[in-house]
Amino acid sequence: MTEQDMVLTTRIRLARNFTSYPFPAKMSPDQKRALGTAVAQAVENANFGANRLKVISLESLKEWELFALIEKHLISPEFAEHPVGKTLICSEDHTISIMVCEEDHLRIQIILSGLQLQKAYELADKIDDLFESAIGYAFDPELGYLTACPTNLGTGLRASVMLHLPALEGQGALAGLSATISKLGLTIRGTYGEGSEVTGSVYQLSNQITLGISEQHAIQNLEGVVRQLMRQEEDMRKMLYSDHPQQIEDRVWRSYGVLQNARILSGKECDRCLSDLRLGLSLGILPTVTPDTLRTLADQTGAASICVAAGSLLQPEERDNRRAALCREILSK
Amino acid sequence: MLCEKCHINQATTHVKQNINGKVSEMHLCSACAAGLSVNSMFGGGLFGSQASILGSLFGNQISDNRQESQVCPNCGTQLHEISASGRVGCAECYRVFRSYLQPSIRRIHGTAQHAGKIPANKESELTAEQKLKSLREQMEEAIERQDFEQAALLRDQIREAEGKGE
Repeated sequence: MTEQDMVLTTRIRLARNFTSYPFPAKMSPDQKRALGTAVAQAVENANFGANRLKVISLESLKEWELFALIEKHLISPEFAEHPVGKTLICSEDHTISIMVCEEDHLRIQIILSGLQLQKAYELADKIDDLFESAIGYAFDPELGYLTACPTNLGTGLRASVMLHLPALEGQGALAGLSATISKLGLTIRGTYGEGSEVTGSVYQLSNQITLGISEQHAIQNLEGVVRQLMRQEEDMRKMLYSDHPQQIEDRVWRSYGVLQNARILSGKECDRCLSDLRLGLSLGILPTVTPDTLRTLADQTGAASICVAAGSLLQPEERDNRRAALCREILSK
Repeated sequence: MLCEKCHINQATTHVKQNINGKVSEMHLCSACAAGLSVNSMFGGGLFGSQASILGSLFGNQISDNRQESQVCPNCGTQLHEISASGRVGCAECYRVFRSYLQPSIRRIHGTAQHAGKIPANKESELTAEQKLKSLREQMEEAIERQDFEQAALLRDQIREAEGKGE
């Protein structure tokens, strides 16, 4: 079993503010627009390989386009709630996203697939340096980078790893683990950040403390716990499969059958089936399905992504029909 | 004279405030002076009901001192707003309200001393002790990733810095 079988993505987020304006909650729409322009200028000539950055005014987007950005974790639900004056800068491959005027002036975010905390941090750090030299940050020698919410003071770093933990979840082992995890200064929660419901056994593990702990320590600490969780999940998967091979195979093939044949497919059911397919792939049960196929399914079957593909806001029933058709099409290739 | 807060209207009110024994005076227009409402000066007693979960982290410290009028001169945020929302208004708020915020910050993070990245242009503002702490951490990290060459360089820098301190 490899890392990719359990880790979906790695995310790094840096919260930063400038001295030139009050924090976003106290800014006028015009001030927000002006800051968006200044930030865009600072990265205008930046070169991140073939990764061109595009500047998007949030006000110009339709509702479902905003939802699609949330679905892809490029923006937070809070950022989309009041789009007036806000700017998003993101790379074409969606690796880099910079939210201007979320809770803080800047939220620099890097998303990479698999477990790549160090690499993601290095990229965030590089972008951070650009703004530092161009605009100048609000910083205090004792409190570190100053942020609107004191829980982000210090490094302003939130490092998180999206883990697929069906076996630990199924055995009810996560409740006990989360108590231990919080003692280590980390948090485990559902896929879309704070307070969200868990779908498809995907959990987000992230650091909680940002003051008094350096970026490197926070990342190493997180990576250590991620690796432990991965080992436990792997052991549990193997144990489950060797104890109940018939049941596990039935569960995986049944979900495969649903995705291949369903005519109506809700988002929740789709997530659950995808989770089973992932599990099956890691145990060598599904010889015909590749990790790429799974990624394509996950990327395209979100409610907002379906609306974007259709170019209009669809009703739930219509989305469920299209989702089913999409899965049949992808799996028939 | 123009209002010192909005810099738009004529100042008509002279406000004197005492924050932790530090007395400051401001000349404000009637609109900005109204922002320093009597209610906030003497504490409306609403903290309990309004405070969000996060805001309640500050509640205790703030309610003890609510008789003082507390407004950030930079962004106009009042202390009770911070208590209710759990968010400060601007970078300056951390300086103005530091004594109220610090105990909560300690409770959240277990410390109130930053470790890690420092903007290049802010390094000169650090105290010798903070610089030493940062160097020691960098050395530990270098050792952990087995970059002994870098660790030796940092060790020399630490020795030099310690020598200066004595």
